[in-house]
Amino acid sequence: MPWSSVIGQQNIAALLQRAIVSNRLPHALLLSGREGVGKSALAVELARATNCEAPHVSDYSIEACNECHSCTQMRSLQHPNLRFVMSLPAGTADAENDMKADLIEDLQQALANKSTNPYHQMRIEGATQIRIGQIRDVKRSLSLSATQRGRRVVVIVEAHEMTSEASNAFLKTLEEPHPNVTIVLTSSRPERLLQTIVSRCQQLACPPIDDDVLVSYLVDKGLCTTTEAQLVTPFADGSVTRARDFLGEDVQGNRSDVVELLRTALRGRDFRADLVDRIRAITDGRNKPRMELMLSLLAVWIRDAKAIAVAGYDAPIQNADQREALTRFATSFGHADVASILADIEKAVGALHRNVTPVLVFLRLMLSIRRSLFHARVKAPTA
Amino acid sequence: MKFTVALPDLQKALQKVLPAVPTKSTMAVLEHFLVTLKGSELTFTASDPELSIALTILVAGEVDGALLIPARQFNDLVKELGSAGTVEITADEMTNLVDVRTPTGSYEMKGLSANEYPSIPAFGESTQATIKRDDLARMANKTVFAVSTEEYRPSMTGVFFQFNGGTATAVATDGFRMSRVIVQAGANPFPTNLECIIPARAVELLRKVDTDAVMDVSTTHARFTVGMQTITTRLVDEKYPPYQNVIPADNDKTLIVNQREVLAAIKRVSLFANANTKHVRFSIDERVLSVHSEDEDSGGKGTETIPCEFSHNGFVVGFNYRFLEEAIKNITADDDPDLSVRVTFSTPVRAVLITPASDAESLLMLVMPVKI
Repeated sequence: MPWSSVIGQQNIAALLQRAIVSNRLPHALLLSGREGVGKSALAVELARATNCEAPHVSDYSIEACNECHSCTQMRSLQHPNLRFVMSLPAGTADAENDMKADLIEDLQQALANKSTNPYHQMRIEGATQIRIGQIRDVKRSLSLSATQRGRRVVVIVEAHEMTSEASNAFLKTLEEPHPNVTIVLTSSRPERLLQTIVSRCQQLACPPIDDDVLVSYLVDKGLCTTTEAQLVTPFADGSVTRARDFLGEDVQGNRSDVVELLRTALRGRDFRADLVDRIRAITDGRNKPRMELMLSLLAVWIRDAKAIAVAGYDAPIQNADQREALTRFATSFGHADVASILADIEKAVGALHRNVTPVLVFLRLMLSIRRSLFHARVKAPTA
Repeated sequence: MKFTVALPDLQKALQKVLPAVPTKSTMAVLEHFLVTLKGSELTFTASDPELSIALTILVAGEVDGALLIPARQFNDLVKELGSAGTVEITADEMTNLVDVRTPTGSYEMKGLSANEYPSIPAFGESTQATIKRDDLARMANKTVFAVSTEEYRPSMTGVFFQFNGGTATAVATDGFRMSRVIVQAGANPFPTNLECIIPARAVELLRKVDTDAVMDVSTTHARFTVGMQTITTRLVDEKYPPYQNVIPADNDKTLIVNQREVLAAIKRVSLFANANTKHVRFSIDERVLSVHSEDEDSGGKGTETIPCEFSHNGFVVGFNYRFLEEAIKNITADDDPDLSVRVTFSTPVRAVLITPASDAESLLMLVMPVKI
């Protein structure tokens, strides 16, 4: 797969290629950006280009031949010079030799999925942390010479999930790497990384993918029609993973559910019983992608309302078909502290990832939003 | 690929390469044997992330080729086929299907393309050393126990091989004890200034070599060719600590003691040592060595007194019994009941050297004493 297969990241791809060609590739890279923008896909391309036996090289670009032995191994992510490190569930062994068969199978499956879909989110069910034992295993492996010719690339997936012990154990390796090794840390929450880790890496921020690029990607892959793609991409936050997850969902139906939920939370006194009923209906079946979509839709709604409150009726918004309803909402609650509400929604997404009971997550969030919005109404200047 | 092979040959070959197959690996290709047929030479290769073992046997080959065959499944099948007769194996490189036929049965397995298997870089600019079977086994056996398992000192996780024309030295240390073996070159001198650190796993495999070995060392790998078998390992890519600096030259107190007696004494006394500290105390007089341990937690203690020859009088030194026992035990592999070991000291806190009483050069163990 060429670099261009990583959509919407041409600048980063060009930067990395130039670094490879001029032999100035940093030993540690931190690729940050929201989930599903192609951070680890870029890392795989980097490994592919630096390990290819007959790459096509020009002054500013390097493209793997996609035919040599190394490229064959890279295609199935079975190259000994490429290694992924990701969070593991609690109570499992850290080193591969000690892992149980079912965990290894999960890891194999994650790699197989990643090899067919570069945007596949590598995550093992119930995984929470990257532990010190895993980092020690990486260090041990790096202390040995390379198995095959080329550059060894270690990808730490969602590096902010490293425990502080793991992070600290990694510092020396990041600072004094072996020659011909590049460590790529990917993170959708780089602010959670230790400063000492961040300062040892060259940081590259991967921007969200433009909606129209995302639409053509989804259509080209034959995943949906243009109309369907146009419907989901505004809510995908520039993330391929989210867009793919949302494809199977009824976005408009879910949006009206979210708006109803918000309305219920903002009703007068007797809102509690109804709110709980609505939340139960949303969280029924514990469909995680759907619940995440709901939270995403809620965030977009709040953001749009703020946009109208600030820039007026014609503000560019994502829920363009709901401009009237949003304007009414903005009139009442336009002065709310949107940043804190969005932070609460982020926290709720994190809580869902950590398997907190969904009903509690939603209930806490809605009560918190209710407080923020009512507070804003009380404080709103009477113009 | 198509060939017919005698079952006993096949079983023997698989047993030799199987130790390199990881039980489970995130790299699915490593759960396979790479099987390559060229004429009548059939080569099985098994690899884990650290080393790979290849073995060539002679078969009745019909069509050349290469394929990855699921290692455990194939080995389990071959084990069940008994030890007499032949099997015919056909592998289709297009469909990756492996067909195993015996006089009574036929089995089909799904393999993988050989292209996905890790390749070891060619040994173009390697340096070569021929090591006699006994010497190599001795270098491996006498050092590997002292290798460090701590990841924070990666250079010590392997055995350091150093060749210098007339001699070859193998050294292992974990910071608490060290073992050094020196062997002399045979008819062909060893290369000069060749150094490398071989990971402990590969050294473990070298303990059981059954013929002389040729060792090739490139910048990234070392390969041991033992008959038809080759063991190729990645090297520890670190600088080995200057081990010579820790070998004291001024140990003036010499203890000569029977190996069997002192080992038995340490073993018995250590039963009463503190399980955490593992301390035992040597009190040495001119003719008597007293080994003592005491555990204040449980209130137990033990003492053994054995005859010895000591150049001084009234010297007391403490040890971690595990390190001491392993060092003395590894002084020789022969079961010689009258073997004496020489232990030299300077002060109770300086390094202690243990060698065979008759030969202080070829084999040397160093143990750091503990303060008691």
